[in-house]
Amino acid sequence: MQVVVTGALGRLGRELVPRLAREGHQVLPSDQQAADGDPATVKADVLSEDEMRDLCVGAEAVVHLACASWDEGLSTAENETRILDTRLKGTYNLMKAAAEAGVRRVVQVSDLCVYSDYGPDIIVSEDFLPLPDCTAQQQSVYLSELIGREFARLHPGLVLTLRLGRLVTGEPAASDGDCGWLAMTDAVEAIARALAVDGYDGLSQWGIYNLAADCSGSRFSLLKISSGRFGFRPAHGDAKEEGP
Amino acid sequence: MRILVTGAAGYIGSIVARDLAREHEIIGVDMRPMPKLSAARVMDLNSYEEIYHVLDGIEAIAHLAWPMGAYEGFEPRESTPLGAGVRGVYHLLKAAVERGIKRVVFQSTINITGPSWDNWRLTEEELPRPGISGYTLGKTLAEEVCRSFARVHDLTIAVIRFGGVFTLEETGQEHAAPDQHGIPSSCVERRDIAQAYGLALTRSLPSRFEIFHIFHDRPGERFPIDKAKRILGFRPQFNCEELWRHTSG
Repeated sequence: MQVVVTGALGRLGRELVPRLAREGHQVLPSDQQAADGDPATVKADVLSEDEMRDLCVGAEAVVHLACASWDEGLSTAENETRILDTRLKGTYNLMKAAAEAGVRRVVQVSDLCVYSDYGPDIIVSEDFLPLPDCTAQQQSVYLSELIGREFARLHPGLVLTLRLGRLVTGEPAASDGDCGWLAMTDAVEAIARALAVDGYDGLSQWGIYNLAADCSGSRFSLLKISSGRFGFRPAHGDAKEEGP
Repeated sequence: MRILVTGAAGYIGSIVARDLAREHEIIGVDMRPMPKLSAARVMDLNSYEEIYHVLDGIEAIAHLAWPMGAYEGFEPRESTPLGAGVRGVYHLLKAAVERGIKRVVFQSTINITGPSWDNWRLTEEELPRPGISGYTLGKTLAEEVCRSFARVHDLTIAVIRFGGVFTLEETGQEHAAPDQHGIPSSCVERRDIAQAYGLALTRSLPSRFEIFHIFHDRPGERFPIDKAKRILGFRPQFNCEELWRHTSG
């Protein structure tokens, strides 16, 4: 399957691209920060409608990772502008281009931060209304999910939105004790799986799934993603399988 | 009260600014000149610093501005709904919180409920289904930004949704049918919108985030205005009733 990956030079993208290639996918990595003439990664900016249109031609699936991170060299307002525009305009441009190109699946990578306003003692599932704070980061994540929802409404099944915990490479640190973390390898495996999920459970044409480490005291229910059609359970966490 | 009206040069904004000026001190903001306003600033909403600056001394905001293209030499840096539209609301609310402003009225559109129009009596509780048009999607996301700010901060935000805006002033025929809409079902005259702004900016509201349908008063309405009547005391003065009556001769 020909798979476009946006934000391919980011931390997650660098792990995901070789993983998808190993599975036999024809991967087209893209990033706004790719060097001119880089043969491995297409230089394309999600803020450009034209570049997104060109990027999606011939693609069967897209993994949308592109987002802006905080740049200490810029002012707060400039950072907020980059973060909001990249997630909102960027996601819109990408999904519009993907829908027009006949792409069958867009995996939109989102973040469990949308539940930040629930107390730590509340276990949340996909049924819970997101309560993001007012930072540009959380607002942009939440609002970009709604863009995905609307594209899924018009193009049933197109968008699968995957909310990930804070990505951890190697052993989780003590500060990851809130179980809002997720092993990088689990994130990569879940995205690979998301490309192939055929239809969603329930009435919705929009796939929305939460994914955090499999921990006994986790705030994030894994019931939806681990059962039904997605059928994925993370390998990492503290919840060990029951003995024989 | 000292009120900032954004989009004050527009078809609706100019009337809102004019009518609110009877009771309030108005500062207008628009990309276009506002010759009828004594206090006005030509700017767009792409700069947080400019927004913060213009809010100095402001007590409440009527936010009507929405991105449009270049206008007579004014070239906005960015003018897409999902860019300047949503981000403009975000930065306006952030600056409002910084300035200690307690009341904002945000102008949305009834069109964000578009795909539900095969039904009647759609109330403010209806989940927006804006589709993927940049305009309706952008307005929906901007409403959500308002909802978050009102939840997190001590800031009361009234969202008003309407559509089919007509004017009877320009023709001077106060009871004539507005021909631009054929036989309108749900519509509203500009001066009634101005009335709604005046109420939404000043009345106490049941919570810090409230949505209101603003339309003329009609029987069997698709978008009931009961909530605006009950909570704001909204009493539309103009309607299209004449249109629905058979007239002989």
